[in-house]
Amino acid sequence: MNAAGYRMNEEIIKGIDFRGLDGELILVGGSSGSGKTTLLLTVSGVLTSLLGGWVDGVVTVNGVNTVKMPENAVTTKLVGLVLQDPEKQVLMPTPLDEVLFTLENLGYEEKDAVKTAVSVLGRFGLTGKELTHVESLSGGEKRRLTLASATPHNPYLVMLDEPTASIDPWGVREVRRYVAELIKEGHVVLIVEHKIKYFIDLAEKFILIDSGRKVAEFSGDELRSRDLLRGLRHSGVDVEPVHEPAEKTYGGRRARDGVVLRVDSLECWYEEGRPIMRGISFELMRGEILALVGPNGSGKTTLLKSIAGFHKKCSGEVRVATDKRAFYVHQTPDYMFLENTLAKELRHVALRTGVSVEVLSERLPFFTLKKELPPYRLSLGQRRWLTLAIAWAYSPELILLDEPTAGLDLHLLKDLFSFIKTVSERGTSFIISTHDPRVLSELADRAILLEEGKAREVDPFKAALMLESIAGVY
Amino acid sequence: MLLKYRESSLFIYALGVSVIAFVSNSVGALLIPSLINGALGLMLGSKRLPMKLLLTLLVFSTWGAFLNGLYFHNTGEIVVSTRVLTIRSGAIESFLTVNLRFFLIVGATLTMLGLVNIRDLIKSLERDLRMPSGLAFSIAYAFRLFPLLSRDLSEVLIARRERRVGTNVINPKNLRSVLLPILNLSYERAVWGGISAELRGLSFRKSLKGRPLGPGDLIIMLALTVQWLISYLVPLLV
Repeated sequence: MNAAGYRMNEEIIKGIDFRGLDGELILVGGSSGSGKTTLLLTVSGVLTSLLGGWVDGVVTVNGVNTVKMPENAVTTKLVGLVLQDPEKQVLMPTPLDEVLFTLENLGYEEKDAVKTAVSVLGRFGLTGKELTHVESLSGGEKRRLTLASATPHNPYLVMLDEPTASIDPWGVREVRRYVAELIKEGHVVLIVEHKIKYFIDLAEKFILIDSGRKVAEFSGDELRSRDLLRGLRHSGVDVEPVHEPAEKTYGGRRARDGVVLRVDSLECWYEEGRPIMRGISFELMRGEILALVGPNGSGKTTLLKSIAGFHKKCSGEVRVATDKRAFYVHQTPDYMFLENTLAKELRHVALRTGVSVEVLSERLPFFTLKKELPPYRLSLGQRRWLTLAIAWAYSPELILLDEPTAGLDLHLLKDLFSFIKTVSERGTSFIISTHDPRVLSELADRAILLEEGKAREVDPFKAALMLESIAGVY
Repeated sequence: MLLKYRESSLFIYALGVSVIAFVSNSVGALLIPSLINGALGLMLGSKRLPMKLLLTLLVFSTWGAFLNGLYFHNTGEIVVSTRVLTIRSGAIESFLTVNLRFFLIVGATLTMLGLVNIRDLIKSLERDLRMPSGLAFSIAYAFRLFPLLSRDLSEVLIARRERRVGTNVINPKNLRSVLLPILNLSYERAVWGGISAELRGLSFRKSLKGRPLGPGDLIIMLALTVQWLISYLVPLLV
């Protein structure tokens, strides 16, 4: 493929070629904005047949040129594409309806469709949840549902866009197991991922892309060489297992300036008589960074919202040291924005907080280039960055971050870590809800594991190793 | 005995009742259908659609109706008079009319949502009304978005509290910045939802054979006709 784009004269893909054989996993990595998702949309035929884009070149899947399909006819029977965000692709109210929708589209008779759907849901560990409302599913369950609903008909090529984003290590393990099964059954699997370390042992090929161009291609054997992996660090792709950074000192900030947050015997619930957590007690010191880990649905977000005062169905005590409350930063950055350009957004923050636009814009390396754009059109990493800058401007004693690293490439992740460290060194404390082992190994001073409604303090680095071993990192 | 009905009959019912709301412009014509559908909708549909979202929509509607009545229909006899405000009968009538329309449309929609499953509705619109699959899917998917809108709204309000800006949705000053993130997210969801549907073979859907009308369908159509008659006759009798 020589080039491809959404609009004429705008090249997103600038030269990518590769070949996949039956039973092969091809990994595609690259920094944010390098064209990875566009590549998937091109291969699936969506770019040309649905989005009005163009392609100069040929993409052949099992003998069919997918970029020359008739209008609105995508390659469903050949290709199963699982999009990045499960929230945006679940269309029906229950898992059963979701899978049935695909099967009925493809002409299955109702009886066969129901039988197949139930069996497919079972394969993805969703037995017993067939008729549960999708909004009651955890993040990991939604991810598994998207896998089930995109591929119940056994397509030849299965493509996954960031399948590990926002899911817990148990969910990552499930995705790995599924990918391994697909390979064994002879499917071609194409995965676009920042955290390719989760799939290195299964891959036959790794394509590194940058600014829409293929810059390197490695075989599976090459990929499993530690020297090569080390050399790939600069590319924005996370290739290595977590390691303990030499400069990090646990508990370095613990004895600094006293307690910022005290949580005592906290119990929270959604339905009366069915607590989702109980007996939660801990303290947080000024400038300390605490990571909150645990499976999807263990109550991490609820705990953050309880501390911020937004989840009211709680008993026990949450005490923030000063009148400057804790500031909760949502996992979806878009909820935080009020204005229709970045410049106006910062002016609004300046007006409310007294922090000047100049100081705020210094915190945002992309400000000059993007100031007239709506905040919603910034990249995911930039939007996360902006929400953190907004939170910082309100000078809270404590910032609560909900999954701040989901979907960030390694460069953005390092920048985010450095921002958080700088702010924490000036005395702001952080509680970070996360599934990301790198937060534990490189950033957190302490960690709390939330599991089965209980909380226990764990060593951050050991917790990081535990999460990676559950996920099955090579 | 469970009455069988086509999901598309309920869709026609909701559409037909909504037409009453648009065509009728007197309190008398709207009152009875509004009460019937409002009560039915709350009873059947409140589990499908979060009450918080409904209340917010109601607040928007009430506030809009009040301003509309005050600025554009404040004529007739004086009903309330204070030093700053004089409210005349025209404003009250306009306020009531708009709110009754709202109850009527929301009530009928909730009634339908309470009784159908989205996937069955798509099938019924295609097989019974011969609607193109893309259109049937878009209509049904719009109903799926309601609970998501409700969740978006509560998260936006949390963010606004954090940023110390108003959370009072009655205040028109807040309206734009409340709607901005919700509309952006909904737009993105709609685009990716459409892509997801096409990727999963929406264009391949085959049209199924239509089903004959059953007693349930006749009752639904009768209920619609009765309400049409009420809305036509009541203004003539009053």
